[in-house]
Amino acid sequence: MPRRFRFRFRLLVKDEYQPLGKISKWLWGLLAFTLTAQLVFHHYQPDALVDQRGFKLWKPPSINILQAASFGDPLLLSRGMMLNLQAFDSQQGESLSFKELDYNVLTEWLDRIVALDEKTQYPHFSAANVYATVSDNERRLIMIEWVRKHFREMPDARWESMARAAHVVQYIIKDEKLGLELAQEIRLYTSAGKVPGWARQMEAFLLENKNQYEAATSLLFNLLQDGEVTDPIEFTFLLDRIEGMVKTMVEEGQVRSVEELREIENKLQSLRQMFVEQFDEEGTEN
Amino acid sequence: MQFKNDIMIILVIALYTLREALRNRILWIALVFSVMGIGLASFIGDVALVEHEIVEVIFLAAAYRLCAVLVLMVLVISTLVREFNDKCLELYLSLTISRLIYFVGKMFGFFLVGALLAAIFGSVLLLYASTIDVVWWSVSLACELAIVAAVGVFCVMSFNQQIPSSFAASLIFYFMCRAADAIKLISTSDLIVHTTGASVMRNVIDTIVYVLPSLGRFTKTDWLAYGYSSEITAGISTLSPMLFIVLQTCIYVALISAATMIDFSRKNI
Repeated sequence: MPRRFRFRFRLLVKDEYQPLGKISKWLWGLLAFTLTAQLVFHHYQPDALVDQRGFKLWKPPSINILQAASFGDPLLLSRGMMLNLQAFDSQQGESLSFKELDYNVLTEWLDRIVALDEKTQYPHFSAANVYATVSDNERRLIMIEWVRKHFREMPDARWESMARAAHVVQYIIKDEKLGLELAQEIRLYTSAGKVPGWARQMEAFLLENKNQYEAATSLLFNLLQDGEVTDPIEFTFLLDRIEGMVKTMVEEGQVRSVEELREIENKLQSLRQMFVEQFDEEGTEN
Repeated sequence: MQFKNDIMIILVIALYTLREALRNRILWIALVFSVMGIGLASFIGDVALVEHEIVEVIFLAAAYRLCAVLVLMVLVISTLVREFNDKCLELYLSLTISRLIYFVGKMFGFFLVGALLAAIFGSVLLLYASTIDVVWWSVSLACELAIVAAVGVFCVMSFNQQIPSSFAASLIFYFMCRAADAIKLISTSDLIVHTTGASVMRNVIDTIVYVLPSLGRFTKTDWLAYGYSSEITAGISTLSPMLFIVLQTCIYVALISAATMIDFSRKNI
């Protein structure tokens, strides 16, 4: 073994080069001239334009081909495809409206992206927040159905896009029936604890908006009784909400008999008792 | 005594190989690519609408992996070709160094360079992912680079020290290994028409894939994006991913080394 084994970390070695002053002046001049020529040439060259009048999103290759083309890194290809798809919106400064895209082909692209990386949220987010917000209900509904289909495959992971889709349907497309269906699916398919309470309670609030207080209170009763709400502030909020709805039901004559009202009161009483048992005891322990 | 002496010679050759790599400014190259990678990843991450950090780490890890592979490949090929052309090899072999000792020393040196590159790029990735995931990723990259180095040496020997053909062959080999699993999937797809030609091609592809290491299972970006443990808990591989990688590396490096030694020992130098 050599006695002295030193590693030197160096980029340029002084001994390997002659001083800059030794370079002839015409070479410096040539360098300066060519650099200026390049800068001037670039400054005056026209911007590259993409003619998008005949633009069409082509069909994506099969998943097998894409797997091969990913060279063992499907996540990279998945994100690359997503960014590429996103870039169709604005290319070279010219904006191409999403309305110009063929949404059936677009969903095929999104399918491939999900097939390459099923854990990604990116295509679901884009579908619900970007592609579903175009001013064309037919296209919006294609995207909503895509989100819905993929939500059912992994509900606990993809609930956010589904919640956004329900919002789009309810307040942008204004299809209350479909909005309610989506909200119901969130409640039915997702698991408590893995998905925030507000998403699972969305159906109840949509019912309340439609003045269907009986169904809304019934849903909230069930959510509270099943012990899904573990936060005392959320519990109190929902309890107040139920009480408010019951009051409105009485005022609007939706409560048909005294027995029915008594039954509701009993349920409320049991929930208040449950609150005391669940949270006050915890508070005492703490 | 002889064995101890051989080990010392192997270590000296390995350390001089590492020193040559460092003199070739490999640390600077790694540093420059690291900084460029961070810039590129930040830009791409900003373009993304969601999952900024995941998008960043995916692009960064892929860029670093490709960069490490290309740098090591070029280094292995150029180093060996220079030693042949400068008659350094003839000098070594005129001493009491056998071809096997020289070969093992060189390979060990290249493995050290590969490990160094993996450590540098891995340390940058610590900014983006958890330590344990980065450690597995880096170990896997070092294994991948060991295979790349072995293949580079093999190509130099087989192509009579021609840089373009050796580099092209190594590169094609690398990308075929990365796509091995996917190529096999395509060949077994039901969509392919069952003709005699297709069947012959399928058998040819199967044979090729059989002798290639499936590098697609190495250095997976998933580990950095979703955590190394996610793959284990998902039960994708019956073998632990890391155990698979280490075993595959040992087997394949040994196989390629044997093939290289056959060629090397037959050469008239």
